[in-house]
Amino acid sequence: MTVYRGCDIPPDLLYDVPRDVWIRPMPDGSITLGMTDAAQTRSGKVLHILFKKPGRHLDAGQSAATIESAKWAGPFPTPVAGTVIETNEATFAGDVLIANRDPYGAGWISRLQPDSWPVPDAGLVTGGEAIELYQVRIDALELSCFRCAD
Amino acid sequence: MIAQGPIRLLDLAPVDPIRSQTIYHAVGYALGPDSPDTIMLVSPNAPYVSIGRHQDAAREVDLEYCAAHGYPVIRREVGGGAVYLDGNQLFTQWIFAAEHLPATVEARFELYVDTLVRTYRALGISAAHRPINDIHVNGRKIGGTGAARMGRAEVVVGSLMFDFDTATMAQVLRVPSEKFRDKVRQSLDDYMTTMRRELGEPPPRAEVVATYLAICAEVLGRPIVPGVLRADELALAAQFDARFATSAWLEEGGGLRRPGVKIHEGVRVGEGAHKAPGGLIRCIATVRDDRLADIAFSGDFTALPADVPNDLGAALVGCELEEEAILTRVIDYYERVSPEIPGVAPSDWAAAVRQATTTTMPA
Repeated sequence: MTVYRGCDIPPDLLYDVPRDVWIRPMPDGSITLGMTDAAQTRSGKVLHILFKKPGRHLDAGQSAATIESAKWAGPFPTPVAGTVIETNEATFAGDVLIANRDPYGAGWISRLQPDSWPVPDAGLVTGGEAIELYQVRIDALELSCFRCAD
Repeated sequence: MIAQGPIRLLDLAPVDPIRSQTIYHAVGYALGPDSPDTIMLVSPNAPYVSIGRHQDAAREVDLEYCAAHGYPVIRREVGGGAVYLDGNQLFTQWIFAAEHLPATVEARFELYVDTLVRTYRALGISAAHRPINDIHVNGRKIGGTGAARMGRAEVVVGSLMFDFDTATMAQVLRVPSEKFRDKVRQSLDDYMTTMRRELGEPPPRAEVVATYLAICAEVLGRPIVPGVLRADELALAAQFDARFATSAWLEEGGGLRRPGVKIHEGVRVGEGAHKAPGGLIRCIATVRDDRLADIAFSGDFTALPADVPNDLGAALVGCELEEEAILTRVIDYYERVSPEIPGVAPSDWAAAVRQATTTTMPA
């Protein structure tokens, strides 16, 4: 685990750093998407999520969900094109703060079947490169991450 | 925040209700790498109701009342609750490249709200920032604020409140009863304020605008230069006009619910009911800073003396929301007054209060 200014950046995930989205490739060829620690910190406590439903095709950059926090609303964009095959709506229905507590685990947002994978021109980074880029971004944003207590 | 250079000012003439919402969405989504940051000032030329991004219009707003009175109901991409708006508010909309505003919502509001607070103070109103995004004057809220991401832009919106029609605000909400509506209106009167209320007569718009812009320039450390809407922004606004007018957009919703009607950050009004063996107890509760500020009981129970519901409500004012604290006060009341209320135990009153303070209502 790598933590920088309180922001967890697991090195095993892929990241779209400018969009603050992480991706976990799954064994079945699908990908799981979620908010990074920086994203959940920036949005604040989530109040509501409206998910794009399974079966919906999304272009890269399109919103897979709209998130409303206590004081902000905005999209959760997918870095790559694909079709929604599952959402984490049920988990959020039980605990709407789950992404604020566990953004890389139980608080995932959507699972997509990507149109193609890998996507070399999507700008995704991982490992040391991701950590380095995120450190630059966190410094530029003057960000310090925090999680909701369990 | 590393932004430099001038900020474009769009000080618009009054526009149609729908355009007062779509215009900042259009400027936000049209913002490109070379677009200026924009401060937009606009008021609607007719009253309307704006609902939050994930609210269910039919559940939160009395759509029949709005239709009968000619008030359009317009969903915005900014979150929050339903609000009645008219020409007595000057919307102050910031549409900035995301990297030109602080990264966190809290810090963004701190900057944005600071300019409104300083403006009110310069006008002689003792406003203060109540984090995260409220502005208060001696415990009363003066205007609301919100934020959203639109494409490359972070958008922060709020208003300078010349006046506010609390009676119509209470009318446009869908509420469980007229008694409840009265309580909402009373709470709006008690806990909201305006320039008119604070100063007797609001200052001229030009004076307010000049004050606000001077303060924005100082706080942001950037010049503010009058500009005009670009053709691509106007074209996008026309597209949003059409989209925001559709029933599909109005009904998209999402089912956001919260306990009670929010008056401001620290004040909510809620209604609930509890079925006791001796009858149904209805409770309307106003909660201020997690304490009961006002309680009204009614129902089909039998109580002697007859003023038990009023007296018991008064006895609960100031009580913390914890059920044990409420129950303790009710038991104390029973011991002092020895009321005759067949089939209604102290725990039933506490249960009715719990229902009123936790049942989900318009956000």
